[in-house]
Amino acid sequence: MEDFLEIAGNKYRSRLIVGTGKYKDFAETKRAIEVSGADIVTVAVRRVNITDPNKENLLDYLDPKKYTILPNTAGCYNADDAVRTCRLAREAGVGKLVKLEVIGDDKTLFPDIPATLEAAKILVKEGFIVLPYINDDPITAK
Amino acid sequence: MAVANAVFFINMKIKLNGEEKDIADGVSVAGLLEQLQIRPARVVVERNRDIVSREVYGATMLVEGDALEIVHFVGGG
Repeated sequence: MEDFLEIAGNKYRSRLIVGTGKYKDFAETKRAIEVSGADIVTVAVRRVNITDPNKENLLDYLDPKKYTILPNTAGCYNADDAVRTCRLAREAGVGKLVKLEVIGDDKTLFPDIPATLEAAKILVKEGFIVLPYINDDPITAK
Repeated sequence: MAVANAVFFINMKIKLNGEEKDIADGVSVAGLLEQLQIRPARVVVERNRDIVSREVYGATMLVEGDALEIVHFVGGG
């Protein structure tokens, strides 16, 4: 029997979801993700640095045909910003899967659960597939 | 040459990624991206909190006071 992870009808060979932060450069990011064997790669959405002459883009290194790109809302502290970020990510054309995080505390990065729930309700209504960042709370998770 | 030309354009102020910027009047979203040397295929543009879809970048003219956000994917999370 083949083992796979299924999310909203899509099957993934690897259960590992890897991040893209803290690497030295995009080339290193790419190599690490290749070696990891992961199918899903999470990325952040940020303002383009207008004055930065370095025009390399993360998606030049991660082929969206090869990996499922999972945009996250890291750095969002309220439901409105998180929803806006998800809409922007969807417009970039990488699908409807999003990792929703609404940060409640700067130091611990614990989530703001009511705000996360509020954002999730809006996003689900808009057709997003929401993977929320929450505590182990089966009641909210429903 | 660029300095001389500037005399003939009316400048307007917009907010670009949170910072005030003077741009020439009559510039479209596509024109602005070109000036900034940003590849349209890799970014998403939000104008006054509404997403501007890629197909209308050329037809979307900027006006005084517009607030633009140009975002892309970066490592993180």
